[in-house]
Amino acid sequence: MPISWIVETMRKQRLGFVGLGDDTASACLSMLKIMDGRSEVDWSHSDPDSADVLMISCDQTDETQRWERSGKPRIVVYHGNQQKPASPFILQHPFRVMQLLSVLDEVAGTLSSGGTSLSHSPAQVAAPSTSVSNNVSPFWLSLHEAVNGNVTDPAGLLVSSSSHGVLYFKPASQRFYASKALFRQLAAGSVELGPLKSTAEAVPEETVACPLFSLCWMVSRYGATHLAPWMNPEGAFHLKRWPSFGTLEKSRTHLSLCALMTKRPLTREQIQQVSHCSEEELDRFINACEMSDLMVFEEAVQVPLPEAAAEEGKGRFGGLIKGLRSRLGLSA
Amino acid sequence: MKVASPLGKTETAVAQKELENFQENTKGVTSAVLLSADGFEVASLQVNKDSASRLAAMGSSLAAISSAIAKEAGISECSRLIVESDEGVVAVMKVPNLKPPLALAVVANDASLLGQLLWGAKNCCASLEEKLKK
Amino acid sequence: MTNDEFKILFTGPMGAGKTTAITALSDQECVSTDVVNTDIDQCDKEMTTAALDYGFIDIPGGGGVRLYGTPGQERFRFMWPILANNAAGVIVLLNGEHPDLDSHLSVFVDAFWEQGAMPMVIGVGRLASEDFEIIERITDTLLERHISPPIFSVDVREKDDVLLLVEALLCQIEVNEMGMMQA
Repeated sequence: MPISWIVETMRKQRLGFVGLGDDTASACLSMLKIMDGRSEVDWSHSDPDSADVLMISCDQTDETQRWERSGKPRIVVYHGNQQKPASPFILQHPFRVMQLLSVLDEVAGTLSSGGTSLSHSPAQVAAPSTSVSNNVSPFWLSLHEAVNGNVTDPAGLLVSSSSHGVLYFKPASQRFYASKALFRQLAAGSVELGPLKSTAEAVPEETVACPLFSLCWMVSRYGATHLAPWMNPEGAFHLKRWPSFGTLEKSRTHLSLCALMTKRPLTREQIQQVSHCSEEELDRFINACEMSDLMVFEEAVQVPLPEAAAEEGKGRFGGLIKGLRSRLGLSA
Repeated sequence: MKVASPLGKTETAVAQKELENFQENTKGVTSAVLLSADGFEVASLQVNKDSASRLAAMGSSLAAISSAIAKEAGISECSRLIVESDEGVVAVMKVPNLKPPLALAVVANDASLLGQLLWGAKNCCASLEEKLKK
Repeated sequence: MTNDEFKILFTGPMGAGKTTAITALSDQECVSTDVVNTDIDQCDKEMTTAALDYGFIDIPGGGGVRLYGTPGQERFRFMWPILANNAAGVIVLLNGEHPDLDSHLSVFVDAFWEQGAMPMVIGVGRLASEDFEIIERITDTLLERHISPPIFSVDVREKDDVLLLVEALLCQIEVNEMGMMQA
């Protein structure tokens, strides 16, 4: 089923320099000015903390090693007399504008799928660089950044405001904290959550804890019912394990999705064919599982579904299971 | 998992003696275990310890299933069950009127005669009832 | 195994609620093989299952589902494979408050998991409704051993919770039926 993509004309990204000599840095700055308008992305210079991408020297210093651990995408700059770095994005100094433009476009392409796990998620890379904002809510976007370590202080606390109270998130422990009342509201209805921001506050004592998946499941119902843009809609999806719903709503549809998707990688089309689940419900489920690191992505699967798969009531127990459901008053 | 026997030391010794008497007087008895209804060994003849505790557990399961099937069949409470093969017999029977309830499991080889075996076991149970009831 | 019946097994340690769960589902009065419990240290219950629990669900139009409960204590584990024979799936009930929870988890899951060939659901009872830490811990413990059945916090005295366990099991049985097992 085709997904409509909303394309923005220009996306903004920030480039930070680490360990580059003054000459290299100022040459880059000049090139960025020249490049203005020639890339799909509007690149601006920023300090490394706020940067989306780093241009980093291949020299191994304390500073470069610290930034290597930040998990941000890096373009490694090396000299002709040095060994070519084993990084996905490299630039040999001295370089020309077109070379810089080319590698920045490459990085931008992977950034459109978000996150920092560039080395092992091929399905995420294939998404076109388009607007990230319209498919999911700002809260969902900010949560994605937080769980992928794109925060200033991964050991710190984040906070999201709503008209019903404040929600805290500790990326390090993957726990949310809020009043019982707010969690009840989140479970019951639509509470608009603002994007997560850093805070120097501490978690108040009267709050209760909530695991990542539970919150994602609640919020995805109205904040993420279209597949998040950092995932390839044509890819195959596979659950690492059943999610823990806790006391949250879990219908037969959800249980079926869990049973199906824990077995083997499946495309969204295949899942819908077998489960008769709506696209919205499926995408919501995938979004919540992906955010909680329960999802594994693969290239689109070539193996078709077994013939019997889509036919209900087949198999050794098929008719019996239907009868049992009916007998027990479970949904048909 | 060692559980304190439902019988005290003296009583266990008494029970042990009864089993030994039973074996001396009945041809073909290869092992006998006095067991609690929930499958613990209370006393046993000189058999391998593991074997005795397994016999106790299995004996209690068999006794429990027998009670259930007797109830299902509408016959009165099962008093004993017999498993027969060409090579021997396993019999499990309740020792009446004891708290907690106990049963006797007996294994005999093909040298035994079923009638004599059951008669001997019944007497053993009666004797145990008399000596152990409170 | 006839074509018009299948079998669901309930297992778990003593006192976890197997008999309660089967009784909740069974159409007929359950067959029980309860005997006086002398092992009060393990579980402070008056009675314990010495052989099996048995219940049955009639399916209109023919056929039915046979429900078997295993005894909980390990000295009766010789009964487990007998009862598990030809089962379509197994529901493991655990007592979340019991000090030996981890050991129970290991014993019962290992006995029935069959490297993932047997559809399995785990229900953990006696947890406070907001308590997710124990479920998380159990999930992680099993995942380290590449075991990942669904795990729910349940109260088997609530029929809806028992039905949840059954539904999760049925979903897995259906997926297996589709021949979806191997990637």
